[in-house]
Amino acid sequence: MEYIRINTPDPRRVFINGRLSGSTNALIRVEPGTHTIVLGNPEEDAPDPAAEERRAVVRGTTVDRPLVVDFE
Amino acid sequence: MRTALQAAIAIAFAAVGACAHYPATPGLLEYAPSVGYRFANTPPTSANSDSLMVILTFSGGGTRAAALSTGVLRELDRTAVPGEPGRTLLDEVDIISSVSGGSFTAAYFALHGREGLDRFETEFLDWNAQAALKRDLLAPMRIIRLLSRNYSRIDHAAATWDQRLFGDATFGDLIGRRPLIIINAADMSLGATFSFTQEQFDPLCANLADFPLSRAVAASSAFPGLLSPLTLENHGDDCGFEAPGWVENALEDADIGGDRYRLARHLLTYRDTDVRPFVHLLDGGLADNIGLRPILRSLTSTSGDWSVLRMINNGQVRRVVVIVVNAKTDTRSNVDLREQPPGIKRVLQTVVSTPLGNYSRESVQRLREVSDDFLRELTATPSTALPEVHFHAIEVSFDGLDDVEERRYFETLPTSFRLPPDVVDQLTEVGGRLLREAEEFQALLAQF
Repeated sequence: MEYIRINTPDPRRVFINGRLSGSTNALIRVEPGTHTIVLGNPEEDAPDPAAEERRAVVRGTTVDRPLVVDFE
Repeated sequence: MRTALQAAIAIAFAAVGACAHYPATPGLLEYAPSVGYRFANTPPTSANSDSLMVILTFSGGGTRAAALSTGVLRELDRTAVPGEPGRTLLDEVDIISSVSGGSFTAAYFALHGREGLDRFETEFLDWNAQAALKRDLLAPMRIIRLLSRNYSRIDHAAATWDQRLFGDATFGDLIGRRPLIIINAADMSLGATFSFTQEQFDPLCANLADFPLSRAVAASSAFPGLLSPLTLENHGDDCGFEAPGWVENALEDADIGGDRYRLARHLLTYRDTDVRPFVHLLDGGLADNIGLRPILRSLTSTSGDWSVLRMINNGQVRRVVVIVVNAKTDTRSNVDLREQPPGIKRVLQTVVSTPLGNYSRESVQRLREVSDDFLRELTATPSTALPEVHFHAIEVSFDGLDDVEERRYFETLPTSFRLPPDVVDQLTEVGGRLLREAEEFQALLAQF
């Protein structure tokens, strides 16, 4: 199990590889490897089409030492 | 004159037989990732919540496996959900992933529910299915059909299962109902699990909703040599399929996410209809004899149609129970009692069954590691940092029997579709007892 934390000023939904996979400012469990991260609005079930897209390689993390990605 | 007549009849029969063809694989008109036999289309109900996710896996092992898994279903039905009168753990079963013999129990239960359990015992467990297959093989129409190159023993088996057990039901008849079943066969070219899910059918542009349950069960139990492989047609580019988002990323991860990389590579092979216009399926036990691999994937990945991990992250699932029903045998037998080396049949049995047994052990070990990961989270983080989940991994196998003689008795039962009714009764009883007495099952009940 790998862990990632997406930080945003306000709470947002997190879509990983196109699927709703958690929320910002909290830990999210993922499998090891490359992931595409897009944010969504809090009540929406789909990613925000205008939102920035990030790719992150997640490996070697632990629950105490997650990969941290900051979005503005 | 008589000879000419006989020849004419033979030619007519051969001509009719040559026209026989296995049922066409239903095509998908338009790829729609939210339509079809998928977990998302089996919503939670007042009787079956998402917060408690109960997952069962049923191994291969012929009637022995089917009976053992039936005993587990019955025990779940005897176990009330604490604090919720009138509901049993059987109501909470969300997913059953099955292989070979276990697929008969899974498919029949998914189709008929708890009311079907008694009937399953008389219609399947106490039935001499092997004799029925042989008898049906002698029916004139079946003989004629089997003359065709496009109609084989596996199609004959599926027809027999339909007649006796499934009555032409398709996966479409199960949409909207829990548990979702994942019947697993093995893709002959890839040597990998092929699950009868819409997600697996999507790249083939095939529609699982119109696919008969009997054929999935037949493929899942198509043991090499006894039954021929089951053939699917690959409809390729006919439906506008687009590879899911995780595939592109996974292809860059050959050195990181082994499983994900392999799955992405496998998925793309179905897109090449020049190389794979057909897909041939064998007994699911050849790739994973306990049906645990699709479950492990769902527990450790946020990709895919059905991801328990995603549901945990989103706070939908608070407690996960995985019960692995493993009817494995101990095939050491008595070869070492003799000086002469074992014959070819015995050697082939060992070649097939030994790696599978080792792989099953590794899968169960992996499940325990996943369980440990979740346990570590509970102790390592403040509860607000991560949606909390409690995990219970339970294995029901003859290893759980303390009595050596009793264990030896069950471990040496044959793998066949014909067991005496008293042995079937013993197996259903021991299945229930092994679950009831499992330490982790008792821990689960104590924690509610």
